[in-house]
Amino acid sequence: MTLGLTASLVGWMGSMASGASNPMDHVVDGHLVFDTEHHFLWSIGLTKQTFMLLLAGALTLLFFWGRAREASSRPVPSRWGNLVESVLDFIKAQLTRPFMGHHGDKFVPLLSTFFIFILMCNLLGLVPFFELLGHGSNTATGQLAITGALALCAFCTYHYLGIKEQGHGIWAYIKNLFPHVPIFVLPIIIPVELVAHIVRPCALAIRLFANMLAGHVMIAAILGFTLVFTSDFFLPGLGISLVSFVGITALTFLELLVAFIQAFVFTFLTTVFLAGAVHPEH
Amino acid sequence: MDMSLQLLSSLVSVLGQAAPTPVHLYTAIGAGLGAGLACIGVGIGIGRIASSAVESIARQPEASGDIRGAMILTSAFIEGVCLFAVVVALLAVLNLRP
Repeated sequence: MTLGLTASLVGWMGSMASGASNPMDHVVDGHLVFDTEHHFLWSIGLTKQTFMLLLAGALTLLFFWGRAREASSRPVPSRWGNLVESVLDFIKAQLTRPFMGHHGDKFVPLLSTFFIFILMCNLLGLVPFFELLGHGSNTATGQLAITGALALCAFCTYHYLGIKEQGHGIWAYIKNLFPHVPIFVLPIIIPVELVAHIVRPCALAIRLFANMLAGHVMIAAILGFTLVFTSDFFLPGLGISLVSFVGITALTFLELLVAFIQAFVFTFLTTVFLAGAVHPEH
Repeated sequence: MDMSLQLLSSLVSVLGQAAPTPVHLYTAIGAGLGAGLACIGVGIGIGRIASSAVESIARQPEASGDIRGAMILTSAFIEGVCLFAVVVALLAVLNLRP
């Protein structure tokens, strides 16, 4: 009974500390807390989500820092090197080898950078203490501009690598993008394939953005129930905030799973598109 | 007809005390219906994935690692489709349409 009371009190105070009862305020971008004079940092583009993006980039760099030098100088990897090798081996065995065979081994560093970077962005959004760093969301991938930029990077990368690997120039690559069918089917095939090629990176961007946004909106909405109900009636509000506390804990575990899965899905689809660009099967 | 609309809008304004921007009644109803209907398809789809995955694990338990991986991956794709619809509903409600 006291445990339930303290849990609901904690939930209530947490939602009071979070400020607004509007869940969308917690998932849109905001200015950093040290951005005081006339929002100078905001005007040059350094918002809280952009700061998280830079932090995730620094963490990705730290993840791989020095492992290549160590891998070529030691016979047995160290503990951190073992972790990095297991991630790279996972990507090689599950993603690159099934789709591209041995030719695809040169793309493992690229794909693992995508994977670790998106994973770091997603995971930074789950850390609660970054609430203190400013207002708004701390999930960099919860903004369509950032995931759109990532998808654009992936798009340019796999087309560039496809042109380079096929080796016959841009026009032959574009002709290889469409299946070789009899000429009377071409007026149907060309618009369909063109739309498919344009929609794929858009789907990548929206899938990652929507998954990250939806989780945080749900968490913010359930926290908002606590605030709304305790501001009117205290005692039923305690019961509701206990339920919402349990719900938020479960949802945060689900968000952790979704962070890993969505990073993997982005990398998986980039691998599939890269394989289609490098070795077109039709 | 007009009075029931007024009743509905007053009900919405009482319940929606946390509404950030003024939005048409029909926009809100449409967004809610759209996001909710999208979840029907996703529920059916992921249910079918889970049912066939569990059945295949029962038939061949030594392949359960591969089957579990495929189940989680394909569920993530189908969940993404529902979230496309949620994004469209959010765009409608937040007045971001052109």
